[in-house]
Amino acid sequence: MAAICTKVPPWWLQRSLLIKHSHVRLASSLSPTSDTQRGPFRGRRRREDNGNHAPSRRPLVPRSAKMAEDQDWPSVWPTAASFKPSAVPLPLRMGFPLNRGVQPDKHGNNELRKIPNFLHLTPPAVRRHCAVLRQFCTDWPVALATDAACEAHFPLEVVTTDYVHSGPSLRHPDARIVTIKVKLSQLELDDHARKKLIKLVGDRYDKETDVLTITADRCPHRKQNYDYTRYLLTVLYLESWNTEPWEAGITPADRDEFLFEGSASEQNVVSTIKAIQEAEKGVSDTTQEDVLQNANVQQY
Amino acid sequence: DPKMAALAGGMAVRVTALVAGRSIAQKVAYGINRTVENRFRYFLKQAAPTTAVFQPALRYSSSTSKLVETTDEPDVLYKKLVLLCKGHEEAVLDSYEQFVTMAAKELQLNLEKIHRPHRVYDRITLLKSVHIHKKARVQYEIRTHFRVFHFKHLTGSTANVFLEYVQRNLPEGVAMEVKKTAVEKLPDELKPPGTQSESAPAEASQ
Repeated sequence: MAAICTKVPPWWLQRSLLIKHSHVRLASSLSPTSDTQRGPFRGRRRREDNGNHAPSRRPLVPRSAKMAEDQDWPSVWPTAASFKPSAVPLPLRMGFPLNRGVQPDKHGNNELRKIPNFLHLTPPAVRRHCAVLRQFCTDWPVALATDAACEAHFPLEVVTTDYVHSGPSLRHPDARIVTIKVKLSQLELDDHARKKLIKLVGDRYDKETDVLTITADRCPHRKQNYDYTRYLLTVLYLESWNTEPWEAGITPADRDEFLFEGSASEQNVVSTIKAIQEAEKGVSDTTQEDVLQNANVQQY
Repeated sequence: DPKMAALAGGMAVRVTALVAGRSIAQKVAYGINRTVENRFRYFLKQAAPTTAVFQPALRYSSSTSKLVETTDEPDVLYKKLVLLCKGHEEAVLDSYEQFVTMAAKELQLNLEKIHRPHRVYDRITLLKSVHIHKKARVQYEIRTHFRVFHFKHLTGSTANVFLEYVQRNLPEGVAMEVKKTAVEKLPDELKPPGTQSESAPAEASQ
């Protein structure tokens, strides 16, 4: 079929060819003549030997012409492939309309080949893929449906990041970073331990949300960073329960809160009341504790 | 005889091909006057006889149980899964968003929100010439568009399956960052020192 179409020139051209080239003997493509036995191109495959393929011409009947409307498209385009105009039965156009014309059609259109196409991910194809993938999925536990339940049973949050990227290396340097988040209310801490822990971590504690965030990026591997964060959390917790001997020497100026007991204010109140009593009765017979237990003093 | 063949619908295609390269006069000689209609139809009215529509039986149906391995290892629990997709073409990201939404719906995942941060055009102005000609410059820009998918409450197995599916079908020119928030129990050591079975705290004070 192809031979009939391409080898014989159109009838209106044949006559002119005969007139111009009648004196030329056409060399047979199959047997080497005296001209082709020597020279740099002897033994070379000639284009005619391959049955006269003309790759620049469109196939006369595109495959899309033979496609039924109700065909199974995922079988035609099962995986990601570059756009083939003869295999896609859609009248697509893409590109800039030059000379106030129309957008170029799909044949020989480089723009359509450059852009990724999603012809392999049509809804029926995705449905089929997911039907098979569903067997590997597990359900989220019903008891953890709310955030509060998650927090109550699993108080520790571990945040990691994975990267899908292209580059000279398969590994992304930021993939090793691990962040741990925990609410201090979930930890068993007494007053002193809580204050000491907050002092130890500094900026890593958020007062509004009561969340302690520890980030580790010093190790090259994610597992190492994860182990390091857990180690840090354990150490901070245990250290905060520890009371060092030198902690007793804290001055009132260093304290976070004002303590009435043992302060100058307390002394002033006691001495004032004693002075009042001495002025009234002559001798103050009340002890310091009684003074302090007085309702007015308590309110103060 | 080509004329007789032309009348039969199934042969119309082949005959049209034969005369495709011919002039109008030749087509008249062959008796095909309606070539236009056949050449520009994408779907023939009477399609060439094809095999019956391919209905793929799920090849794994009888052996689904063999593919699934169950272990006693507890599944990781992801409270949140955030997919950030970055690309240079917005249309590609739109299509990918449709695909991810479809896949999430089929696998019954909790896709809370899709948010589309504003695109970033990174522009740079350079000198056009190697030496002097300060007034002649050339400007380049790198366009980045974003899509962020927020998922909630996924188990480790589901997340692995979904992420692998969605990442294998990531189009060219699109990058993805997956931020996973797993929830775990506290370490066992986090109990006040008095109540611990071990007597002394492990770490030395310093």
